[in-house]
This record gives sequence, C-alpha cells and structure tokens, in this order.
Amino acid sequence: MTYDCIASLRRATPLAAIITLLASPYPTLAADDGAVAKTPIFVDVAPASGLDFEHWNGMSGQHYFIEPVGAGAALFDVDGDGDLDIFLSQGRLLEPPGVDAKSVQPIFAPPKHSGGRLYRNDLSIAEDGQRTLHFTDVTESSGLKADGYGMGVAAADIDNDGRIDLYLTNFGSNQLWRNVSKDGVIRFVDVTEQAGVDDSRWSTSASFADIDADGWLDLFVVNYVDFRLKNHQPCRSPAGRPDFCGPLSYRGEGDRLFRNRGDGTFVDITGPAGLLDGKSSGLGVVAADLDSDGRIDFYVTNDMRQNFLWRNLGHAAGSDGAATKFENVALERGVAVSGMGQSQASMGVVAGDFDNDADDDLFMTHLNGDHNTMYINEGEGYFDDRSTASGLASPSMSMTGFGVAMIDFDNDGWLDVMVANGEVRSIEAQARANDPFPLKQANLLFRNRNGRFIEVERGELGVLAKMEVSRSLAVGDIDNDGYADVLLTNNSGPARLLRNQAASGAHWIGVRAVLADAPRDALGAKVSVVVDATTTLTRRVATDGSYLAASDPRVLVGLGTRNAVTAVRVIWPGGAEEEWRDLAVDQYHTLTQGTGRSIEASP
Amino acid sequence: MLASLALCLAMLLVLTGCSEPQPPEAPLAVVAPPVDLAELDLAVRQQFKERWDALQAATPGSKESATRWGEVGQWFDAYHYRDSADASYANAAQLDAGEPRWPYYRGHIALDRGDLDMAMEEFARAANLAPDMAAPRVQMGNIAMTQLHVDVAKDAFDRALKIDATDPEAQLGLGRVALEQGDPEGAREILEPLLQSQPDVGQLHYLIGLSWRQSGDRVKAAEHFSKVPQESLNQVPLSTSDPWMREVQLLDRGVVTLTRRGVREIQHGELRHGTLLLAQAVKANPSTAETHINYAQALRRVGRPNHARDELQEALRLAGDSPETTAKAHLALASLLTSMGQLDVAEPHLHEVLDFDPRSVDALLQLGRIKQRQGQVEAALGQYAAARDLAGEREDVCFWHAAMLLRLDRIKLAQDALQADIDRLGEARSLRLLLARLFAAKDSPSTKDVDSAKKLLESAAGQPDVFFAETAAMVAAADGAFAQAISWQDEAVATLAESRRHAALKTARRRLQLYREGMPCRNPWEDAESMVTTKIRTSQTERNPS
Repeated sequence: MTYDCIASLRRATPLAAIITLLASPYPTLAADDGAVAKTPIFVDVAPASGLDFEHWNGMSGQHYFIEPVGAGAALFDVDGDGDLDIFLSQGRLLEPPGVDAKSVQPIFAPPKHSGGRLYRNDLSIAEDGQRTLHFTDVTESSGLKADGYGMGVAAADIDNDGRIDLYLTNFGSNQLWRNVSKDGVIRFVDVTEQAGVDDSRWSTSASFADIDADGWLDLFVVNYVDFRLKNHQPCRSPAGRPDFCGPLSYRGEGDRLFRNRGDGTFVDITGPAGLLDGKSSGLGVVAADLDSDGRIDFYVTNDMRQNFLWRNLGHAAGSDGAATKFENVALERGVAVSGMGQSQASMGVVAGDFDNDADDDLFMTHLNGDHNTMYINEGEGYFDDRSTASGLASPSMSMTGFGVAMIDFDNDGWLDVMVANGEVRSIEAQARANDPFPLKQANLLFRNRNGRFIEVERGELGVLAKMEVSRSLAVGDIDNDGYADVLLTNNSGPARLLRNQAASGAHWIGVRAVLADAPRDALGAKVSVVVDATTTLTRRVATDGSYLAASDPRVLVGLGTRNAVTAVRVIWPGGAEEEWRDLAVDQYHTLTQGTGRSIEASP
Repeated sequence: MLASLALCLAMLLVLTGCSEPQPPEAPLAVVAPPVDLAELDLAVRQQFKERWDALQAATPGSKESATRWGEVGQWFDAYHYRDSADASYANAAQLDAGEPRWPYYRGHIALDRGDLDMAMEEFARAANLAPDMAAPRVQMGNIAMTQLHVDVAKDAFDRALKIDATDPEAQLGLGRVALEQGDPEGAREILEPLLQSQPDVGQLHYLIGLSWRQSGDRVKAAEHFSKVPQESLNQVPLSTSDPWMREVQLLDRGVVTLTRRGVREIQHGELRHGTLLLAQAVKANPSTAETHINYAQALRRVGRPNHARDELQEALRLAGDSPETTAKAHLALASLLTSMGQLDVAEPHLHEVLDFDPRSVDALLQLGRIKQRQGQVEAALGQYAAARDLAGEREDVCFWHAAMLLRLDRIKLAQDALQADIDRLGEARSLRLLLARLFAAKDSPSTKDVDSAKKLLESAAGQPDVFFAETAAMVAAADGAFAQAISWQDEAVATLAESRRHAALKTARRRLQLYREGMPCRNPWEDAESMVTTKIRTSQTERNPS
C-alpha cells in the first residue's frame, strides 16, 4: 500500500467526521477546537476570600506509597449560622525510619501552618443581593488539633445536639472531634478515646449513617492497605526506575463499622456485622439505600480489587440480635467489577439519581488506561455498567480520576459530573521537563443531557483546565445563591474554592431535612421534588461520597425554567413519609420531621 | 445509522485507494533517550543501547532506518514511555508506509489516551495494509463497541473471524455484541465454547454470568460470578492471537514484569517456570535486594533451601542502606532457617527485624513459633500476646495466643480471651473450635460445659477438616459418646496418615487410643500441636457433629 492511500484516508476522515457530527444527537466538541471563548462556569475565589491553604505531602524522595494519595476536605456549617465553613486535611513530613528528622530534606517547603485547618465562612449578603465571601482561619482558637498525616473527613452530628462533629481519618490514628461551639464561638474537643472510634491503620474515607434507624448516626471507616514507613517496599516502573507502588504491593485492610450507642460512645461491630472478611484496599464509601428496601447499605470502592456492596440485612433471623448484619452482594448485583469482568482501581464514588428514575445510581473514578464507571440502577439494587452509553467512559481513559462531584451546576434538574484528576505514575513529558512531581492533569466537567453526558468546552473549564494533582471534591452552596459550588484539593498544591457562576437563570429549590427528635440533618432521608404530573426529582440527604470528602447535606434541586413545584416529599429514616406544598422556589426551606402532611405508604 | 454510515465510508475510502501526487516529506519527530535511563534495570538499559545504537548506525531515510525506528518505538512502548513510542512509530511509518505494525501500535497508544477517533484511523490503516491480520479488525470492533456502534462492531468481528476463525478476542467481541443486543442465549453460544478452551479467564465467567442474569437465572449467574478473582493481579487474561502486541510484550525484560510473571506462575503451581523467571529478574537487575528475596522464596518452594539461603544473604548484603528491605530479608531468612530446623540461627534475625520495627506482627509470630518449638511456652505466649495487641483483628494471631494460654493451663484466661475475640471477630471458626475443646476437655466444673462445646461445634460447621474432626471427637468423648468420638478420630488419623503429617499423626493416634479405652481427652492443645486444615474425605461430610 502506498503513501497515496494513506493520503486518501486523510481525505476521507474529515468527510466522515462531518457526517458523524451531523449524525450524533449530542455533538462531541473537541477539548480545544479554537471555538469562541466561553465564560468559565467555575471561578476560583480562594485567594480573594482569604482561603489560603497549600497541601503538603511531606515527600523527600523515598517514593512512599502515601505521598500521592491525599488529601481531603469538608464543607459543613460548623457554627450553625447557615453558611458553609471549611476543613482541609494536611500532610506532614514523612521521616524515613532511623533517620534524624532534622536531616530530612523535603522536596517541597512545609506549609506556613501545620496540621489540618478550619476556616469560618463570614459570608455577607448585601441588600442588593451581592454576596461577599470571606474565610477566617479559626483552627487555633477552636482547639482542633489535626496533626496526624491527614486523609479524609466525615462530618455529622453524632450526639444529636445540633452541632456538626468531625471524624478525621489519618495515616495512623484517626480522631473524633466533638463540636462544642456556643454563642458564636467555635470550639472542638477530642473525644476519640472516650468514644472508642480510633483505628490506627491507614484510613481513607468515612461515612456517618444510621444503619439501624435508632436515631443515632453510626460510623463506617474505610481502610486502605497495610503500608507503614517501616514496611515500605521500593517499587519500580516496568523499566526499573523507582516509582510509587500500587495497592497490590501490600496486604489489604478490612474496613470498620462502629455502632453509636447514643451515650457518646461507639462499639465496634465489624465482626458481628459480617464485615470482617472484606479485607481489601478501600478508598471511597457511600451510604445509601441502593435496593430500596428501607435500610441503608454501604458501597465501598477498592483499588485494584473488587468493590463491595454491603447490603443491610437488618437484624437477620437466627442472629443473636446484637448487631445489624451485612452481606456483600456486589458481584451478583453487577457492581463489583467492570462490565468486562475486571477489577478496577476504584477510587472516588458518588451515589445519585443520574437518570431521574427515583433510584440511586453509582459513578466512580479509575486509573489512566481504564475508564470511569457508571452503574445505572435497574431497580431494587441490580445495576448495569453503562459507562460507554453515558458518554463518561472515553474522555476519562487518559486520566486518573479521584474526587467526583455530583452537581447540577446549571440547575436544569439533571445531575452533572465533575472529576478531579491527577496521576499516580510519572507522566513522561513532565518527567522530561524535570518536574519534581510529574503527576499533573486537567480536570473534567460534564453536562448531563437526559442521562447522556457531554464534556463542557475547554473555554468553560476555567481553572479546572489547570494541570494539577487534584484529589478531593466537596460540593456545597457556599454563598447560598442556589447554585452549587465546589471545594477542590490538590496534592502538594493549593485548595481551590470554585464558585459557580453558571448564571443560567434557572430556578431551584433547596431543602434542609431535619429530624423531629434531634436538631440535625436527616442523613439517609430521601427528598423528592414533585415538579409536575410527569416529573419528580429525587435526591439523597447525605454528606459522604467523592474521595476523602464531606459535602453539604442540604438538597439543592434545579428546576430549569419551571417557576413552581407541586410538592416536596421526604421519606425519613425509618420509612415515614411526609409532604409539603406551596413551597416557594429560589429559596431554601428547612423541613422538620412531623411538620408536613403524613403520607401513608402504598401497599 | 448515520454514524455507522460514516465509519463504513471511512473504511471504504481506505480500501479504494487513490492516485494523489506525493506531498513533500515532513521532518522526522525528534526523539531523545529517556531522562531516567541511568536508573533503569541493567538488562533494560542494555536493550535500549542496542536498539539506539542500531538506529544511529542506519542510513537516515532508509527502509532499515524505518525498521530501527520501529524497534526503538517498541522499546519505549514496552516500558510505557508512550509519547516517545508514538513519535518513534510515527517516524517509522513515515519512512516505511507499507509496514502495518507501526500504525497498529500507534492505534493502541491513541486508545490508551482515549483518542478513539485517532485510534480507529490508525487501526483502519493497519487493516488496509495487512488484509490477512485479524488483530486490527478486532481493535476496530472494540472501539465501535465503546462508541456503541454495535452493527459496525459486529461487522468488524465477523471480518476478523473470516481471517482467523479461532481468534479469541473476536469471539469475545461477538459475545459482547450479543449481550448488548439483548440476546443472552446467543452470547452463551459464542462464549461457552471459548470458556471451555480458556476455563480460567475470569472475564469470560463474568460475561456468561451477565448473560444468565439477562435470562433471569440469578443462580447460574452467581455460579459464574463466583469464579471472578478478587484482585486484578490474579485475573488470568484472555489468551489472544495478536502477534504484534506479543512482540512488544515479550520485549519487556524488566524486573517488575519478570517478577510479576514469575509470581503468577508460582501461584498457578508452575513452580519451576516461575523460579526460572525470578532468576531472570535477578539477572536483569542483580544489584537490587528485592529480586534476590523473591528468587529465594521461589527456591524454597522448589525445595532448594541452601540456594535460597545464599540468595537471602546476598539480599542482606545489598540491602545495606535500606532498613525496610534489610528487615524484609531478615524476616525471610528467619522463616527459611526455622523451616530448616536451625532455630538458634533463625532467632537473631527476628530480633533484627523487631529492633527496626517493633510492630512487625510477622516477626512476633515467627518468634513465638520458635519459642514454642524450643519448649519455651511462656516466652512464646509473650510474643503472641504482643502480636495480639497489634493485630487483634487477625484470627490466626488470636488463635495462637489462646493456644499458648491453654498449654500453660491458664484456662480462665484462655476462655476469657477466646470469648472476647469471638465477640469481636464474629465468625472466627478456629477460635470457636478451640473454645469448644476448652469446654470439652477440662475437668473443672466451672469450665467443663459440653452443651456449650456442642453449640460452638455446630456454629463452626462447614467442610470438615482434621482440626474440626479432632475437636468433634473431643466433644463427643466428653459427652460419653465414645463410638462417635472414635469415628471422628479415625477420620482424622486416616487423613493425617495420607498426608504424611507425622507429628500430628502421633498426637491423633494417642487420642484415638484414649477414646478406645473409654476415656475423654483432658488436654485441649498439645505441645507443638499445629492446626491441620486438610479436608476430611467427602464420605464423612454429611455427618452431624452433634
């Protein structure tokens, strides 16, 4: 075959491409097609708002496995003033065993302030609606001392006193900080020991959920692998160059489930609950009723091993009744491995209704060379791998994804997706350029068009197109304007507060679901917005998901052009259902259990 | 439909050819050696040097130069320097437009990058240049599946099978097409014969499981799903007939790949071949301690302990600056020496490990076993107790701790520890059986509790092994049911004799004699007793333990 024929192929391809463009219902635009510049959807307001945080992974040339993994973030209302505050996890120096710490030369300079940092949001809203964000570092005055090698965060009210507490996962001992803030003064107390919730292994993500509907939030802690500095294995690339290890170089660790006794203490029920045999390499977790049986299940993403779907069996018949039982049904439900039958390097995960059919689907992120995976819930907790059909597969093949945000950024009623990317193995071009941390990638943002996802144009990405080693994404409306924003963390890089300026003009409605017996968010509840006779949009009340992150538990539902809703329904933990009518759009509503119209469950 | 038409049009234009004047030649892409060449494995560096030198020696612009560029590209490709591989292949293709391998490799690189359009273009080019090769058509089919152009995919797989009727990837592709088209029976017709020829491929089991799920048979689906390995490393990949990719894969002489392949072979019982691969890994990089440690482990498995010891000593010498690797070598050497009966020589190595890492549970366990074998039961208990403090979620650690307490006759402590561990760990079969023995074997009214022993036995039922059988015998004897005790103990003895576990057989025979004399066993755990989990023959598996 001659060069001529290759030229004919070059002639053919543009023609074919045009036909393809016409044929496709949703044109796929190239990342950089030279189109007219668009306005970025998200703008980083961290520097302008005083959020001055740089993550430090403490690397000093040993290629410790821990170095590229962190770290996490939380968006939560620490002082109960109605706006979202921020916690950011921090690394620390990794001292090779037997070496004097003073002689260790870290690759990057240590941060100004060590340890995890807590920032209070001093949001002000002028009469004309202008919102000004300002963050103040209140870490020292709060008493919160997070000086471990920080990984993730879980945020929830564990003692039902109306104040959100924090569970910090670390490489090493974890911490439970009880929020004792009062009269506008933010204070925390370390109650890890008395609560009995420490886990000294390498913990990653965590989730608070009420597994037995007793009104107290229990705690699921995900653990990664049995890596310690002292059992560090020097790993190499295929060619023999020193490189970071993968999770299969170490023994997998089991996860842990703590039941909240309601008296400030927890009991470890991992074994009795049937979770002990699940030794794996956990990185992400979501708590959701995935099979619609009224009980909270846990889905755990494992790196290079099968994922777990721990189905909540309640107090199983024949048991001693002391603990709720779980059973791993991931394989039979179609969510253990990819549609091709292969264990993937699953990292971040979200559960949400991506196709607006009132059940929760699952989306998770994977390594370069593999695709991110969308499992669509076919009903009653059986899933189908629809990664390809969703449009989310191929754009992710060249990326290593970690944090994932499920966010209706344009408030059209369809949940969009943002993915934080950053490699774990050296990128050749960056290594050639002598980059000391050659793992940088751009992030991804997709619009959901009726269940099919389209990558946004490069011009709309703004700072998301920056090449960084991104890790965690926490979602929340930081300026209470009804448009969800995002907090993004970078490993060895700045935290970015991405304010949504989609300004689509779309309507929205926000709901905070609060329990009757306790003044806290009803984690595990489901909120359904009945828009009209044919459209109901369902969302979970949750803070977990993504990667090492805790997000705003308020439910924010985009309504598009619709300027009214028929009703809002809440299914509370335990199964009771209530309805509210005549709720105005474009504002937040706090719905307290017991104040709505009770709905009998249909037979 | 229109999208399918577009793709077919692309292929049609490729196939018809043209007669356009040749454009002027573009300059070749600049490719440099990898910046980290000095850090690579010795064998890998040598490989690169040979190919790079051959490229420099070739006449620029010649066909030979094209081949050399391709070979350099293959080196970059094998070791995951994708950018340089792509540039090298591009140069090779520019100089020799008739060679199908270069666009084929570029297609794979584009696929890894997620650039499906480019990948399709390159595979189409390769297919056009190599009408007798199935591989490019298979890849085109896979891309079409990714883009959900199912008809185009089917066409591509069919074309591949016309070229090679046994191509496994093409068959797999057609199976996927059938599933996508909602034809699970059709999928099974294709995939089941493939599974018969490659029964260990987890991927095939999974797809067949999906087909059963589509057919509504969740039981059959679960049977297949259960055969999918937990870890990606243990997945046996589909054996393919792609000689071009095989060429690149075989190039990989790096330590990592050789080690991985070696370990996989050993896990599949191919001890000799696995050991050979690990020997090659040592040769590829003789100055890394880890390669010697891996090789030593393999040598031990094939019954060459002296050679294994030499390799571990070399590893210790090389590990010098790395305390973690030094500890690893000490641990492996201690384990080897213990198995060779050289307990006194093994012990100092474990102390070296613990000096470096006092939290090394493996070292504590090994030291405990040495102390046990030396008859220093109190000292053994100390090690197991320390291990239990560090790793209380490990059933084996809790077991040995409790076993030593029983050996020392600290019945109450053993009972309390076992109960606490069972409460914490849940299932913990071995702990339940040990506690059953405690309740059955002891004389004191406060500890002898046959009913509890029976309940524990029942809760630990499953496929009976020697440990279970001996425990069942002990409980039966405590209950006065000596015929049953003898029957269970007979099975244990037979299994131990068959598996030539002489030390355990001695203990088992002694217990059998006791039961024959109508006497219960008073000692729940003997000196140097080990937990034998060899399965009892199936004729006994229906026996009710109570």
